[in-house]
Amino acid sequence: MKYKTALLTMVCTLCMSATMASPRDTARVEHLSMWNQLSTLLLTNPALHSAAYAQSYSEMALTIDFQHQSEAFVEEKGKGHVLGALAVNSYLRMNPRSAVWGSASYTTGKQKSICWNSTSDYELLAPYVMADTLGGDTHRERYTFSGGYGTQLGRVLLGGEMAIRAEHEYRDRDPRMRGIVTELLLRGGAGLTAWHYRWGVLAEGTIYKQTNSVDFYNELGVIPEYHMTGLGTEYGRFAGEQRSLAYRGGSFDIAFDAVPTGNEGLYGHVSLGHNAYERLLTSANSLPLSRLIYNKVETTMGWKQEGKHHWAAYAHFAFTKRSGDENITGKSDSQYYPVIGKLTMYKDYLMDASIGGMYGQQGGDRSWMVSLKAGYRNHRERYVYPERLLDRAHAYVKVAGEWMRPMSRRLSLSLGADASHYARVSDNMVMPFANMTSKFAEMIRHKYRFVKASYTEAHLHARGDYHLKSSSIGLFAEVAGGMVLCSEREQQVGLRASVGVTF
Amino acid sequence: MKRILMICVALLGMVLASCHQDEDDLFTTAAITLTAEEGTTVERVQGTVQLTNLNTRQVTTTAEFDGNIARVSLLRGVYSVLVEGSMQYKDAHGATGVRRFRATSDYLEFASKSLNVATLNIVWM
Amino acid sequence: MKKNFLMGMLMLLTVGLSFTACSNDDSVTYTPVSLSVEMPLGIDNVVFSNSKAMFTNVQTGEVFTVNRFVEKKGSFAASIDQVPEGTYNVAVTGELSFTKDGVAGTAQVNQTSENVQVKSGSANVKLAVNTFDAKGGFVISEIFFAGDKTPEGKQFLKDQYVVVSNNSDVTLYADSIAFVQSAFLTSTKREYTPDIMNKAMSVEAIYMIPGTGKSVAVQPGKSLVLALNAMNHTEANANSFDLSKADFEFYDESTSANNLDTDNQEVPNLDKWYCYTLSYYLLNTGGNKAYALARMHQNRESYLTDNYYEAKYVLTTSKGDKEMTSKCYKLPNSWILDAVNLCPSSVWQWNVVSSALDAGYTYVASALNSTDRFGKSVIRKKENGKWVDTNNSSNDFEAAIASYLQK
Repeated sequence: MKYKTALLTMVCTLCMSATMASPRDTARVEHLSMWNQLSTLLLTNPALHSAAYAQSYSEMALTIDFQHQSEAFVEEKGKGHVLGALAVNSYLRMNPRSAVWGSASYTTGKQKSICWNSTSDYELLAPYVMADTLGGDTHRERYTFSGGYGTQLGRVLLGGEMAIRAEHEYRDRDPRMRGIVTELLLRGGAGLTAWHYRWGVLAEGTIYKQTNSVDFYNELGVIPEYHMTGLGTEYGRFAGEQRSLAYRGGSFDIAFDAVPTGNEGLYGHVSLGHNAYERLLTSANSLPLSRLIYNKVETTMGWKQEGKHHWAAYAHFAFTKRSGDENITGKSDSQYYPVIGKLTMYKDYLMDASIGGMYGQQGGDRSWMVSLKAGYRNHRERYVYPERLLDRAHAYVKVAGEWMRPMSRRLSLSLGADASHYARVSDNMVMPFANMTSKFAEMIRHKYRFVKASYTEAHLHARGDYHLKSSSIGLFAEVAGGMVLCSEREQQVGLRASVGVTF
Repeated sequence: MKRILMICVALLGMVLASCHQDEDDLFTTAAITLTAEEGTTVERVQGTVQLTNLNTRQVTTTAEFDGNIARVSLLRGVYSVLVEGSMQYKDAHGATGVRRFRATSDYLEFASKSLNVATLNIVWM
Repeated sequence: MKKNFLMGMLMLLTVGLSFTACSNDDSVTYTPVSLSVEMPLGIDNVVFSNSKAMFTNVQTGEVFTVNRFVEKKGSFAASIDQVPEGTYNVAVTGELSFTKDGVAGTAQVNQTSENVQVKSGSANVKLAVNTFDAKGGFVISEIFFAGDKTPEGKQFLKDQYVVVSNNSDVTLYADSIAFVQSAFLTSTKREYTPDIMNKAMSVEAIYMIPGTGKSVAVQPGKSLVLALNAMNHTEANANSFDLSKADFEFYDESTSANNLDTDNQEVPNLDKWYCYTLSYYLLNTGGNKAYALARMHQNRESYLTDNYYEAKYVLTTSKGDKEMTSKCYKLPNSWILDAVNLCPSSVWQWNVVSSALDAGYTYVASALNSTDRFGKSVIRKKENGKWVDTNNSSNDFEAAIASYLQK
């Protein structure tokens, strides 16, 4: 009898301990739950970010990330990478009114088989990059630091954030590209609690610099480096010999947000942004060759409700217009070139509209969520004269699910999966192939092949957290894997593994 | 809420309207005048004007001459120009002749949005 | 509230979809196109035979051809009923027969025009035929200046050579023909004073084929090889070739003991009139000089005395302007038989001879010091058994594997 009682007591204690909400787990669920994806855009406002989480949470992780494509989907980004990173993220709730957060990371590794791009930050600066037909692997190092603070004074919220990114990318065989990037971000936000809502306004700006060069050590000579100007065109006058560039620019964004203070209500975000990056030929007395300008608008509106069940429905719209100005360079006078005019030759329009919803339960140390999103993306690129265009449109659908639960007093498990399909709706290409050299024509055909393709993606991740006895420190291990299948009979595989500590 | 939505849409329109001003005035007209040595009047030209954009390496050609002037619509920029063909002329003594000619310039600016005028001296072939 | 939410989403989607409303009209519009081919002035009784015009759509590659031309007031017209609007490269070929000042003549027609816009309402294309032919004589038919690579991957420059050819129908004598190099670079434009280009070429190297007047006979269609070093270079570089049987050799008495020139006693040396170098001469390996053939009309001493001059230019630096001097010799344009501007296309700034002598330029690779240059020459094109010579190197030459490497 005594034995049975003891056994029953043990089982009950175990069951109860499994259901006892550990503060560490609650904080992790609050910070890492998929439900937070609904607020990602809103929480860039440091004033709103300071009121976003009730609990502190910090994490340090060592990660290795591997990606490989059977054929480069985007030649300028290469066929994959192997990257290792050490990162720390921390959010500290100092008191009910104030919070401070910060992060630091160091990433190093290799990008594989980059071609037609000798400049870092391709996604930011495309199409105005330096390029050659040979390319190769590059080594990368990236340092990031960020910190922010927010506080509430009565009904007013204030917050500020600063972030720095420094990046060094290089290749140690011909063509020896080198890109050194520094970017500084400053953000200031304010908010007001009124009419059951938190209203926020954000202003942020970045200052961006990159020095970029390509050297050849081969005594036999060089291959030409082209200064690309979009859709297979290049600034022929300075091709080949001028291989030293600088990029200068930055951005300015403003955003307006609204989020309900209660458990349900409308939420919304509107942001407007303007980026401009100038490409300078430093080997020609910093001659400005071209200027890339972005104008973007992004908005999300939705309804969410939190309670025994969480649910949300939203619509999202983003539009980015990129314009590329090419400068008309005049007659040189001992390496000084005047600029005598400019022409807007490159135009790029990207539109993304989607609707989605999320449903699940979240409470304490556990959560499960499912989400569904469907959208339409239309991307049109133009080079004005001689006419070149590259258009594509895709419809997409994405389903995702997440499950987070403690398995025992110390061990918690998080599982996630998502799958999406991007289906080609329409595409069109107009190129003056008869007047293009074979290398450029091949590059454009490769690009067109992949931008118009359909893609199916699936990802899985699993994470285990273990709390150390009598300590606020926890350990975790995470693995994630994914596959992308391209309708052009190519694929991408990715694997990521992380180990770290939470505190 | 409705008011807020209206403000957002209005802001959207405002920002997009005040975007970076694209320079869409891409084309201009170039008028190239051929002149011979002093005392010689150019009466008629049959020839080809080949303009190579120094920045993009794009080549534009025209064979349209109005007397000794060729007019061509082209992308604003800087060009090297080669004109060659045959020319009917009247020399200082009033005698008419036909001879082959060439005229070149390695740098001409046709960047203005209004008419760009250039004069080239010919050499006889 | 929910009604407002739905209204808001609808407005959002409307705004979003409005950005997709501006899309290209992909339908193809067809238009008739007319072509007018103008004949050179001053010729009569023109017959344009084997005529063909090809319109190549630069985007689709589709080719539209018309063979039937109708004469209309001195020009020849053709038309195609329906071509899609777009940008075209137009090429006209054929044969002309005509009389000029009572003398019968023939010429090949090969005229092109690129990036011609064909649109409804603007579909009239005009081309002018240029029948200029420099009419025979000695021409430079090949210049091999880039060198080649050894099997170990090193640069090898000793096997440079120039080929001079007789492009006429009669035997010509090459005695007193000089091979010259320009003093100025085609990749660096300067405002030189005095500017004598329309009257003379400024040179910094003159090597003349020696002879008594009829010593060096060249049959029609035959060539002379001028080698920088007339040796069997395969001994030093298995990738090279044998120049020991060259017709003439460049030889310099070097003043530098460590940089001596080689002299093949079996091969006659060119008569050195002047060279800028104190050691031994090499063709400019960057390919950014001009070369010419000239018939020298004076003896060496009087020529050098009468034609030395200093070309001045202003060099602008960060520390201010400085007047610089280039020592050169003037070579009258009337003495020049053939001239070729060389320059990699990515660095070309100007031509350094009169446009009457050469209106274009040629190259083996687009970039200076390009790894693509090895083993390549600029070679003059041939058409119907004759070398093409329109005094425009852009038309007349092409980059190709050096002829000695093709053997």
